[in-house]
Amino acid sequence: MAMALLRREGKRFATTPFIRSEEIVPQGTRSISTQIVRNRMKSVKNIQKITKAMKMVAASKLRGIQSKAENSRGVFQPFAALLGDLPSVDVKKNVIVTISSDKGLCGGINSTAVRMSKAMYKLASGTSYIHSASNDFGGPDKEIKYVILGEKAKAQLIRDSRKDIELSITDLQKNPLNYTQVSVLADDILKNVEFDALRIIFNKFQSVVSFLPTMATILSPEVIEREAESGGKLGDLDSYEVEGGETKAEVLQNLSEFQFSCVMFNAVLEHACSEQGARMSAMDSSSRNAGDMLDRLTLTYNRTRQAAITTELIEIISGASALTG
Amino acid sequence: MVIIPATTGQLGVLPGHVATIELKHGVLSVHDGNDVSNYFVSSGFAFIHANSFADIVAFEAVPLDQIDASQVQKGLAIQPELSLNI
Repeated sequence: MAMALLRREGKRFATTPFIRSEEIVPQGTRSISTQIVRNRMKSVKNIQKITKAMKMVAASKLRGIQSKAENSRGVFQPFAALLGDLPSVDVKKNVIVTISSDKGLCGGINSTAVRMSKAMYKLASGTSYIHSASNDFGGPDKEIKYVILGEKAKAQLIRDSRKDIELSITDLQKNPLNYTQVSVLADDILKNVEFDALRIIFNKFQSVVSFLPTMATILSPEVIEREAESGGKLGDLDSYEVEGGETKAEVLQNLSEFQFSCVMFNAVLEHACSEQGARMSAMDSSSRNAGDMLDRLTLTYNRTRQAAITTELIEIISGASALTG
Repeated sequence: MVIIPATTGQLGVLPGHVATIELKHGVLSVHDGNDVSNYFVSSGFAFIHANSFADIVAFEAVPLDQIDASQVQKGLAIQPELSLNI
């Protein structure tokens, strides 16, 4: 009686080896977990391919712009030699020009530029009063406005400083950057914005992995005059003979505007380089992460697959041994 | 030595020149020993510092041998008001 029962059980095992009576599992899906893991592996592999391609694209763009940026560093140096760079100048109307990117996936450069702009805003508006040995920076009657280049900074600054944004410009890099485009931009800013001092905040390109957030200061002609008279760094501006039929005020205005456009040109190029470099390193690290994730998933997949095969083998063998034994 | 086109004519600059700010459109020629290179500069600034350094910043600067004289003449014929008396 017992033997007949066992024999019947054995027949059931022999004919239907893939379904156990306790489990309600549809046929052929014992390895359901490997399906999930396989899907994940496919998507991670695709992401890795995409990020590798983005890194190559960024590298090639970087090569193109890098030489331009390094050449443009010489353009604004004569002005720095003549007029100096005075970040600590104390003026009533500050305009902060923030340069950022339109596209994302470029690491933290836009956040650093925005953070620096916000800090500069606080410094200049006097909410944090700074007493230094030479001058008092900030005060309640100071006016600060933003001019924003690029979508990313606009998105971040519009949240808390919407009313302080004077001008915002996007889609800067649709055409390759050249001086004419930047000078038109500079002209626009100079016409529409009243300022005593312009502070341009951008990321200076030092190498593919390091970018330095920098601020360049440009003074309006009246402030230059004032600083020259009060002595200090610009004191010997008067010792330069100015030839030609222009008055000193006109020359100073020309100088200031030309300086602005040169510094803007350099700043925009440096920012473009920093953006491509940051994108390269961000995509590189994400490709590497994807590779690591793929390795781990492959191990899990193999383990699950081997466990499934082992369980099947055990069942078949135990079923066969139940039949024979 | 550099010869700078100034509003008052040609300005020859040697080390020890007095500090000056100047430039007008015209032909700039740089004499480096016996090498002479000529550039055409549109407007800009030339700063001559007291420590015998000169910086020249121009809006556009083209080496003269890259300018084709016949093209220039053709362009001037179309728009004679652009002709500058250099």
